[in-house]
Amino acid sequence: MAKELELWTRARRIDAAVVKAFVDFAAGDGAGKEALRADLRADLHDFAVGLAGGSEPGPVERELIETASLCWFWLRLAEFQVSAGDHQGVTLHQSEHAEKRVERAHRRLLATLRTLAQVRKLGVPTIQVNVANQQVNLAGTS
Amino acid sequence: MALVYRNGRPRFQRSVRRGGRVTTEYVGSGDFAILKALLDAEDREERAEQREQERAERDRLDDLEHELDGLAEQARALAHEALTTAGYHQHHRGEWRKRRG
Repeated sequence: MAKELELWTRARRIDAAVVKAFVDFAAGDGAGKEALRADLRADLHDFAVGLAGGSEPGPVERELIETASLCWFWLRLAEFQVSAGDHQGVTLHQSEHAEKRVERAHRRLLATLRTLAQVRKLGVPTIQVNVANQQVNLAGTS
Repeated sequence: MALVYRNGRPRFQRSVRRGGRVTTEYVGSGDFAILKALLDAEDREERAEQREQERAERDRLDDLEHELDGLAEQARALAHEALTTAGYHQHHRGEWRKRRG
């Protein structure tokens, strides 16, 4: 059980400040972008909810879902930059750089989704324990 | 592009490469030369500013991507450990199998 508890304490939610940094970068920091930022956050949330598929994921699965959502968000941003660059007359070097970023984003998302699929397929069991009178779901041994 | 003075008179000229040699090409003189030099300096400043903005945006992109790499790596490592703890092992870095016994 000690190992499972250690895993639980290590599995953590992605910091809201990290999500904010990604959303701010995509929407722009300036004033008047609040609606766009809210839309992007909602998109991220919807993607995560879709990945969770209506279930309450354990901590490991949850961390993978949140990470995959951010990877998906980053892929969209990278793809957008490539298409925007096509209309802005960027240099060949800049264009290659942007396309490589898309490839890396794609690989990162696929790797995370593959890991999520493995965790689900093998059904890493969830154990419920009470920590400080609060129910906690742990990924642990069967 | 350069503003030079010849016999006390401003002259605007630029350096061009022709046939592997750099030569000076006359652009204009007098008030036109001064105006052209000012506009040219303004253009250079704008281009430098734009390059700086692009560089800052690229740095920010790189930082965020680096952070995302770390998060993805951490999530996969955690999953790996959870599966190992649950009694699985990865066969030749591929398929996950339940340990026997």
